[in-house]
Amino acid sequence: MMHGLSQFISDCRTVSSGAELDDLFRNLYRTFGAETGALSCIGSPSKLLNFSKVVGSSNPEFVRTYIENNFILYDPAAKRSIKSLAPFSWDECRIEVGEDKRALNVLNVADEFGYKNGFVVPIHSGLGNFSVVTFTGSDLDLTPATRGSLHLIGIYYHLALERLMLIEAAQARPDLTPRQIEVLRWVSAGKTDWEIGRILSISEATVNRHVERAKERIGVRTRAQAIVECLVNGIVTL
Amino acid sequence: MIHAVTSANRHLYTRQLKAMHKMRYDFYVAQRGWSDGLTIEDECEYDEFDRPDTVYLMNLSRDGEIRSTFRLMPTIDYYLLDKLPQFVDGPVPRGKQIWDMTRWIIAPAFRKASGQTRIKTQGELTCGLFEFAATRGITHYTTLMDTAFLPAVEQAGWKYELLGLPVPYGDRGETAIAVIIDVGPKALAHNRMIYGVDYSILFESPPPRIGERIEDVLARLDVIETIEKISDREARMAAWSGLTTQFSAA
Repeated sequence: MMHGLSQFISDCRTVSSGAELDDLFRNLYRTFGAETGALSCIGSPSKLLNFSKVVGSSNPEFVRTYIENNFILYDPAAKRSIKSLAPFSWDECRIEVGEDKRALNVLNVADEFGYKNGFVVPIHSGLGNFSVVTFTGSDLDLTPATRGSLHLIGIYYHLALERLMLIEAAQARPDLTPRQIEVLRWVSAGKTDWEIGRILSISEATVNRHVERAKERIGVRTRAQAIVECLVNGIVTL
Repeated sequence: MIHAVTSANRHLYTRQLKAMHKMRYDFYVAQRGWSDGLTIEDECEYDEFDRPDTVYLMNLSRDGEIRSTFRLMPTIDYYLLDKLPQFVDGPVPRGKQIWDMTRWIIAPAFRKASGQTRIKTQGELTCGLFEFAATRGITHYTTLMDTAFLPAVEQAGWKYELLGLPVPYGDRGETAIAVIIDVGPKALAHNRMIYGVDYSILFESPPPRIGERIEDVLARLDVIETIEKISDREARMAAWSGLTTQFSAA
């Protein structure tokens, strides 16, 4: 695997600010020919991530047009992201929409604004947050290697954002104890419970208890649920 | 309890093996339409990796019903990533301490179970998986999984390396990714902690006596009783607090 990508994955586990993360994200997707990377959160039961953000040079005029015309209702990419977790390109959507004029209109307007092609990565995280990361570019060449790389960039960007927002939410909550916040900070820096225990001179089980109590208070689901939810939703091992 | 079904004790699990192949048929063939390289007989699915050196880990209920299963095999001989090298960037992992993991399935009845039951079911299987590694001195499992599963693996705190980029499989645009997971002793401790399983969950039957069934082996070894005792954590905690009360009263 490409060095830059491995480095990005590793940085995503330790990065501590959103601005720094966005820089890493932008610098990497550009090497694959994408001009913008956008993360939109469609469903988030825990309310931690309820936003849409664009990294890179987004066109405010396009965003305004999209919102004013309620494109979200007809956007074939949005529809498809809800149905399946497999990544896809706008070109593939175009084939799918056939004669649906309103759906075609969304794609054509995007095209007029210079978004010639896009690559869409739907993500369902273990913590129950759903998001869609879209990469666009005027000459985005979607080779198999580029698709695979953008897919991973989208996933790890989502995971890092989710981790940062979780920490932010935790820190904004006055009902968390200082110890819980301290432990969550180390968790956010990618340390294991065992490592945190060594740093703070407390047992691994105590660290875990702080994490679990903090998560209960913030209202996120357990780490264990992460895997189970995916399995029962039929995501497979081969 | 998680049963390690090996070539040495496989004949004790005829009923469960049949049920597992049927579950695999339902999941991979009937629902997903897979057929390449598979042998389908009597609504059961088999492939070339159901071999004598294959080990099945089965989470069985007390009456022998399957809750979930995994398939494991050594990588010293031909295995899945040898067959599908396009998922691996570089040499295919191989070694005595590396095993491959495939066909991870939860029985339909347990997919509908309530959250806690499901987590317990899966938690026990996961701990059994890591405990099995400890019994064989396995340090890593390789696995090929749907890329959509990656966030859950990351967020469960497993340590792993990606072996390549996501590559398409199937006909619905899905992609799969090969990973190598660290399953050393620290990983076992970590998983036991996050799933709250603080007891040994794996059972590997010794060679049975002539004519014995698995139920007989378990009864002879007094396994059911022991497992029931230790897995009843609430009763154990209650007993423990009773004991400490007595202790402090004295």
